[in-house]
Amino acid sequence: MAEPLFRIRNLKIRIQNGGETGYPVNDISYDLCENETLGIVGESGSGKSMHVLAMLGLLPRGLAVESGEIVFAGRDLLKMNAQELRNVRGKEIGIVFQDPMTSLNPVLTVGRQISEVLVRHKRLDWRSARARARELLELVGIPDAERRMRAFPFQFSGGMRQRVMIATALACEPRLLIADEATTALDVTIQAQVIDLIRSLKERFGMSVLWITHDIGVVAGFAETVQVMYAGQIMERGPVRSVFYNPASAYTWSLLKSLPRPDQVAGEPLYQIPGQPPNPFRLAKGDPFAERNPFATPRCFEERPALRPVGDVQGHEVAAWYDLKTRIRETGGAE
Amino acid sequence: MSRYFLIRIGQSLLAIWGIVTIVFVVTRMLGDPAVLLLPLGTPDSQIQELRSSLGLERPMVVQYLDFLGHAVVGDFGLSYQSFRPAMEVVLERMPATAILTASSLALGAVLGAATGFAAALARGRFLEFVVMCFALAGQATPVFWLGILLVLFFAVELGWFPTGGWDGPASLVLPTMALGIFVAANITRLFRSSMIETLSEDYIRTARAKGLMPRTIFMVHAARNALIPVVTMLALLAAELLGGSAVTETVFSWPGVGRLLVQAIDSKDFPVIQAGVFLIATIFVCINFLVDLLYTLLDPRIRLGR
Repeated sequence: MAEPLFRIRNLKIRIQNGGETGYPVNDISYDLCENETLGIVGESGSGKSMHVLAMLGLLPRGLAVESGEIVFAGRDLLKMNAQELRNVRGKEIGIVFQDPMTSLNPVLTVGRQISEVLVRHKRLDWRSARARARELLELVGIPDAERRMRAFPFQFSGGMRQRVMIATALACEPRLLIADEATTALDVTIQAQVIDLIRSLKERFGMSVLWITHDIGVVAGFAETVQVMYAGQIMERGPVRSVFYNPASAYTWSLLKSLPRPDQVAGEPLYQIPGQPPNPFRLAKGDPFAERNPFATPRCFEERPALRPVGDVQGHEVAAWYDLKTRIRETGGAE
Repeated sequence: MSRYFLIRIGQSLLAIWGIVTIVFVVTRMLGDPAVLLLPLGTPDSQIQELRSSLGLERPMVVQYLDFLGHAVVGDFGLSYQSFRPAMEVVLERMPATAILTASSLALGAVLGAATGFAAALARGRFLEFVVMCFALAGQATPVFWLGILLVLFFAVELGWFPTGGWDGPASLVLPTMALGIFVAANITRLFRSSMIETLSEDYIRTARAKGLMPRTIFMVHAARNALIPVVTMLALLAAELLGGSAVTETVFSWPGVGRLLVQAIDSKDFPVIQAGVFLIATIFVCINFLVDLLYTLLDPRIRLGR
C-alpha cells in the first residue's frame, strides 16, 4: 500500500441557518494514496463537494468545520492560517469546478488567467509565465494556442473552457487534482474527451485525482477506488470492480439499478429510488438511507452503522447492518 | 454593429426633436413676453406692435415650423433680453458649468470609489454600517440645502471661501463639495452592491482556489467587473450635471447654464430657453451614446460581439 497523500479523520461540517444546525458532512474519514484516482459518487447534498471546499478553506458563508482533521502531505490544512493555505491552493492542489461558463473571469484573457497562477506560485515574470501558459494550452489540446492566449472565455466552447480550467489547475504541477463535477455541464462526447485528457495528464504528471460526480457511470471506467456518499456520510468504498459487481450498500445498489442499461427493453421505466433526498437539518439517528431502503432492518433505524470490511476484498468497506445479498433474497428484490 | 449604431442615432435625433417640441409648446403657455418686456402702463397698441415684431401674433403652427426650420441650423433667434443670438448667450455660460461638472465628478468618483470599495470589503462589520449611513444621508440630502449649509459654515462663519459667484478657483470649492458629495453617495452605494454581487461569482471562487492574493482578487478579478455599472452611472451623472444643476448653480450664483435657464424662464426669454434646452438635450443624448461605446470598451463580451 502506497503512502497516503492526504488523510481525512472525523470531519464534521456544520451549517447554521437561523436557529437550526445541520451537518452536510457528518463524520467522514478516508485516505487518498499517491497516484490514486478516487471517484466520489453521491447525489446533491451528499457532502461530496462540501468536504473538498472545506479542505481548501473555501466554504461558503454560514458553513464551518466543526471538528476533524485533513492532513495533506503531513500538514493539517485545517490548522493552517490563511496565507499558508493560499500557498497550497493552486500550487499543490489544483481544482476544476463544474461550470466552465461561470468559473472563468469574463473580462480577463485566458492567457492572463493561466499565467497569473505561475506568477503567484512559481515567482515567474509575466513573460515566462505566458510562455509556459501557452505550452499548457497546447498540452490540454487547444489548437492555435498562441492566438487563443489573447482570447476571452466567451470566445471558447464549453469543452474548450473546461480545458482552460484544467490547464490552470495543472499549471503548478500539483500533487492532487480535484475535479468537482468537472464534466457534468458538458455534452456526453465532450465529457468523454475531457475524461480522457485528465487520465492522460494524470499519467504524465503522476498526481492523485479526486473525481467528484453524481454520475456513477463516469467513475466506472476511470477511477481505481470508488466511494459512495449519502447525507454527509460514506456508505461504501472500495476497488471499483468489487463495488460495482458486488455492491454491499443498498444505496450503491439503488444507484446502479437506476442506470439505463443497453439491454433494457424500450419504454421500461428506470428504477427510481423512493422517498426524498436527505435533509441535513433532519438527520436520522440510524442509517441515513434507512427510510428509503426497501431492505432496511429494524436496527437500521436505531443505530448508525460504522464502516466494516466486505468479504475478503482488500479495501472494500460498507456502512450497513444488513447483508445486502441475503436481504435481496429474503425480500425478493425491490418493488 | 453599424446597423445598431444607425438605429441609435435615429432614436437620438427623435428624442431631441421631441424635447424641443415639448419645450416650444410649454414656453408658449408661460404667458406673454411682450407684456413683461415693456414697462407697466404701456398702451396696448405698443404691446401689439412688439408682439408682431417678435412674430408672436402668427398662428402657433407657423411659429413652430419657423422655429424648427431655424433650429436645425442652430439659429434660435435673438434673446428678448440682450438681443444677441440665443445660442451664443447659452454657449458662453457653458465653460462655467463644464468646470463645475468636471470638478464635482472627479471628487465624487474618487471619494465614491474609495468608500464603496471599503464598504464592500468591510462587509458585515461596523465600518460598512458607518459608510452606508453616510452614503444614504448623502443621497437623501437635497443638494441645494447642503449648499446653503456649506455657504453658512465655510463662507459666512469661517470666511474661507467666497459665498458665490465666480472669483477665481476658491469659488469652485463649495459648489464642488455640494455636488461631489451627492455624486459620491450615489457611486458608493452602487459600487458596494456591485462589488458584493461580483464577489459571489463562481470565477471569484476560482481565483481563490488558485491561491491568488486577496489584493489581486479584489483589484483585478472583482473590481474590473464591478466597475462596469459604475462607469455608466458616472456618465449619466455627468450628463445631468452638464445640463446645469439649476438649483445648485442658483444657490452659489454660479454663472452656468442652469442658472441662466432659471433666469430666462423668469423673464420669458423664449429663444434662450429653447436654445438652452436644445443644448442640454443634445449633450444628454450624446453622453448616453458615449456610454454605449464605453461599455463596449470595458466589456470584451460586447466589444468582440457574441
